[in-house]
Amino acid sequence: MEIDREISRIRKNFFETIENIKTAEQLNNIKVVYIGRKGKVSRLLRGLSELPENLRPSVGQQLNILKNEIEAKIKETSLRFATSEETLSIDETLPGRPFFKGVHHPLNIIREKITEIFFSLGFSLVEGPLIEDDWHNFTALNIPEFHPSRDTHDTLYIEGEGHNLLRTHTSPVQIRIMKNNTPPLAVIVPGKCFRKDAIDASHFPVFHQIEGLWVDKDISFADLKGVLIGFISRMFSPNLKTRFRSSYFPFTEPSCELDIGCPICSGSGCSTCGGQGFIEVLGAGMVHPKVFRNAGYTEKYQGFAFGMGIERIALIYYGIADLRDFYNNDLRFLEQFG
Amino acid sequence: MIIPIKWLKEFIDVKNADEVIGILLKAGFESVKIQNAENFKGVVAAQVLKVTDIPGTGLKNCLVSDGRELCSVVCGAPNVDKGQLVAFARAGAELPGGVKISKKKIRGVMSNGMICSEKELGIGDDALGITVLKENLPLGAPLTFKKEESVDVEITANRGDCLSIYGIAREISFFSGKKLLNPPEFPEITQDQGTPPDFSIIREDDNCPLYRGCLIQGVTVSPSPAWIKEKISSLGLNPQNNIVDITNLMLFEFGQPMHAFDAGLITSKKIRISPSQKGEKIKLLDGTDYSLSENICLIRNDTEPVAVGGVMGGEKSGISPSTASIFLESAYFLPEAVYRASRIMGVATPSSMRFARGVDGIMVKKALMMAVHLIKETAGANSKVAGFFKEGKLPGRTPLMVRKKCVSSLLGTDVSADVMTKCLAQLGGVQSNEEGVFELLPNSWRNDLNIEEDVAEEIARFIGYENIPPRYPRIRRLPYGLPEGVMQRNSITGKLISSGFNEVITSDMISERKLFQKFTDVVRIKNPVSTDMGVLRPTLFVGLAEVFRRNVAHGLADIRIFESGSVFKNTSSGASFINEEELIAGMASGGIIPLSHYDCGEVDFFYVKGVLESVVRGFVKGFSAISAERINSPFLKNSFIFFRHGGKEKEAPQTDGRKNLPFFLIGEVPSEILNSFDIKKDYLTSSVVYFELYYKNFCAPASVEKKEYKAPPAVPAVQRDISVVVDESKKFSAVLEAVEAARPKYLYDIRLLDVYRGEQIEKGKKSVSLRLFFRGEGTLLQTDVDKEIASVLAILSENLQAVLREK
Repeated sequence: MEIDREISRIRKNFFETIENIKTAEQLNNIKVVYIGRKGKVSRLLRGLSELPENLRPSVGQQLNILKNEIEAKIKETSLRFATSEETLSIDETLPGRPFFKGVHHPLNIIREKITEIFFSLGFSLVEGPLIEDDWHNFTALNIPEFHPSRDTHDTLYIEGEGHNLLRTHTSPVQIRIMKNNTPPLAVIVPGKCFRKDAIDASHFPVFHQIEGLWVDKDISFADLKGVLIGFISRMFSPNLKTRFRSSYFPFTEPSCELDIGCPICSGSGCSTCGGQGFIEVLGAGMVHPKVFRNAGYTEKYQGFAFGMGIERIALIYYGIADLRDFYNNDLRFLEQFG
Repeated sequence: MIIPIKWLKEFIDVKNADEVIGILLKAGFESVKIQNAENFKGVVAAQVLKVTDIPGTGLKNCLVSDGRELCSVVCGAPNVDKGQLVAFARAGAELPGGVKISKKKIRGVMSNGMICSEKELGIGDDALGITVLKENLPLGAPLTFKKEESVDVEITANRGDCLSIYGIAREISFFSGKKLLNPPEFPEITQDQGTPPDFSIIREDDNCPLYRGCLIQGVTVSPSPAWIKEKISSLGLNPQNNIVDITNLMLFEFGQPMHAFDAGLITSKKIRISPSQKGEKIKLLDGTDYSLSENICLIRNDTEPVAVGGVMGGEKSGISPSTASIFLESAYFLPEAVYRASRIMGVATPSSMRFARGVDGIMVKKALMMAVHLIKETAGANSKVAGFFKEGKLPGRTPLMVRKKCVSSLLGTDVSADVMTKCLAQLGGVQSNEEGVFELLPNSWRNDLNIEEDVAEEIARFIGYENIPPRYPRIRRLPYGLPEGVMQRNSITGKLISSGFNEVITSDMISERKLFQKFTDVVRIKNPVSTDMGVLRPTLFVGLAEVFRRNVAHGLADIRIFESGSVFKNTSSGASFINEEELIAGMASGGIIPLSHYDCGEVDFFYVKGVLESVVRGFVKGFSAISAERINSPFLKNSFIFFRHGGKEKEAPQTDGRKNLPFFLIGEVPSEILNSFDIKKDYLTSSVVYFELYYKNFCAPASVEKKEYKAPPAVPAVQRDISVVVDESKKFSAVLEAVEAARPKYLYDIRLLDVYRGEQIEKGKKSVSLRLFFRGEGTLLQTDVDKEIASVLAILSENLQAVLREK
């Protein structure tokens, strides 16, 4: 049939011509000639309605196939021209579209690092209220009202009735957790604490602690050492020296403090460690039986608790000299930790 | 507490301060060396060869030899004499306080240096006479008077027994295995002959279980002998007189506080120990008048208070130069009672510090005997012990059971019976009737050993903490990790950070002045650090504004900050219920992106709204903030609270009561507020926008909000754009609501393309262009879409009188 021949001729001509074109302009011309509004294929498509009804579907199909082939070939060929032209037209050294990204506060970066390590050890996280009552903050933790161990807690009290205060440590959350859960339990408690301290390079009335508590039937001082040594080695370096020293906290017995070899000077003595070679990082101990009793445990349990200052860890970790920098929130300071 | 090393050496063999510091650190006490650097230079030993008076001056011209040359020196000391070996400061020498010695003429006589007194050398208080050297030093030998080394030890609150030189020696012995040297011999003294005095003690307060005393008559109050003065000075105290110095000696050497009354002023001849009544008054030795609360243990001259038991003596009955007889008190006050009195009165003394931590009961008598002995030695030949008195007895102590099995379990290491025995023997009397079970009656000074765990700590210290092998975790619990609330908060802060906001942390305690009386129910702090930190913040605005101000002052203009924290308010005056609510708030200003050649616009209300909408969409699918209410918010203008709205998520259960919970607040900070916070407006390039995000209201428990999975649609969406003209007063939310009211079946998303006002539109009207997205189960037919658009337009026309705009 004539129409079939016409279609094959168009196809042949098209594919021969397109092989020879050299520029995008020539390609555009071909496009107009074949599939433009008045192009060869378009004209045949428009003429479909004049064909006898029984021929229309097969011819229509053939024409559509041809049109698709032509479009695909033109597109493929155009890529060749397009890429080479655009490469020439951009200055790739221009700045990219800028993107504003903020940063986490360094204290929270350190908090996350610490909590991640304890998650990997199997601890879970809980939080507690900032406003506490005397019983949770002191009495339940074996710090009776008239005991010298209160001297180290310069407590801020809330005006009004009741003995409300701003918690001086995260330890009251120990009581809250134990009151509502039975062992085994292993938790860490990060959060803000408050003491009536004068502001200087190492004190601020607002500070952050992370409390830890692991209680089961037979958790021992040896476990305390294992967990804390594990923490220090991941937080700082596996080669860092650790030193457990005897100490006193009313809510633990036995109690200890943990020193680490100074990560700034590796123990040779510098301003960060005050020339001592060691820095105190946290206090810990075996939970005092009175604390278990006050939490309502009647069965015998054994476990340990620890508490560390996030500011202190951050100061050591980054070698920052002045704790007030954390609360000035100078963006030029904060941005360095992003 | 100050521990002079020389004094400590009387009880234990230690080399120097550094060794002591090392041992105490392991024992659990932190301490620092007190540096006693030599503070004079160029002072040498010299001999006085000749002394001649300088007429009419009271001064003397001395010829001294320092082994190098002969010098003439002017000296005013009355005790200077020929033949003495003296401390001679040559010309060019430096004395404490920056004094430089040079040659100068005094009263017409050339003086080539100075013969020094104790005071001038900074080694004593004697300023009158010159120091005469006792040692046989060669002439010209440089002098190195060193003050004795000492350490300042911080004693933990449980170890009252270590608050003395002897106590520290005892602890060092326990910890290092060094033997205690020369255990002090306490004399037994009896009453001197004569009739027993008419004097009695009436004990009516159980806060003082044991009260002992001694009446000494015929005493002479005078300066202490040199050895006592030296010891008192080495503690950094000023020696006073023999009586007071000796009581101080007992306190610092053996940890037993004592008090000496002028017995002549105890006129009733009755010492009564009884609790205070509320409002009773007493003037103490510190010169302060105290009005007492009830139940403080008082020592009385029959009824009149003369001392607060265990804390401080009264001014009226104190020792004076005219005192002729004394009553020396040595007692045992209960720790809690003394600490309570000291706390309530706000007075802490060396005495209250020791009683509050528990003193050694046995020492009450021993130290009294020692003190009486010393007073008799120093208070003149006529002094006479007129009588000893005693009321009450020491509280009893019960033995503790210590089990090898329990100690081993607690420490996580197997403690041998041998180690147990050795350690326990040092802690007190031990008995063992059963293998591995011990009965310990702790030594009288170990008030801190009350339960098995206390003893376990001693055993751990005895073994050495470093010798307990660490064990690595084996937690028998399913991991739980982060609570949902914290996870959600972290996810929000993460989103804000990737949107360019910086996290800040500010104080929860702020100045009430900064609230400009815009808040009621503020929570105040009873004893604030300062007025700048007098209240708990009712809003995060103040802290953020402060941070904003500081950063603007540094010349920054593109500032985007947020804080996650708590705000507080009083909810009831009764039982003082304080509401503590967590939220996230932020502040933004400047360019949406940092200065660049791409134009990205400036921060404004809608920029912040976009960030917050995207944050909420992480929790509420398809959320758009169209349900809003204009509010009067402190510090803000144009401020709106946005609520949850059915929106695309119309199927959210209505019963959960969350429909009208506020999600966030956005407002602009007007310039008068910027002024009140001293924020320099010159630097700002855009408005300052503040927001609060009440995330607890849209972070539902994950079990409810768990995202439902749907297979991605197989057919592409059909898009249609329409433009309708509505009255200017109609809000965008009304348009959306109308579309929704048509309950379209296939329409699944609507985007606002444009809002146009201008020539082609009637005045007072606006043209709103929307792009509608349709999708069905299969390929949609034109007619389906047309039908749906028609119904949408019908409702728009009915509800909003909207007219389709011909393009």
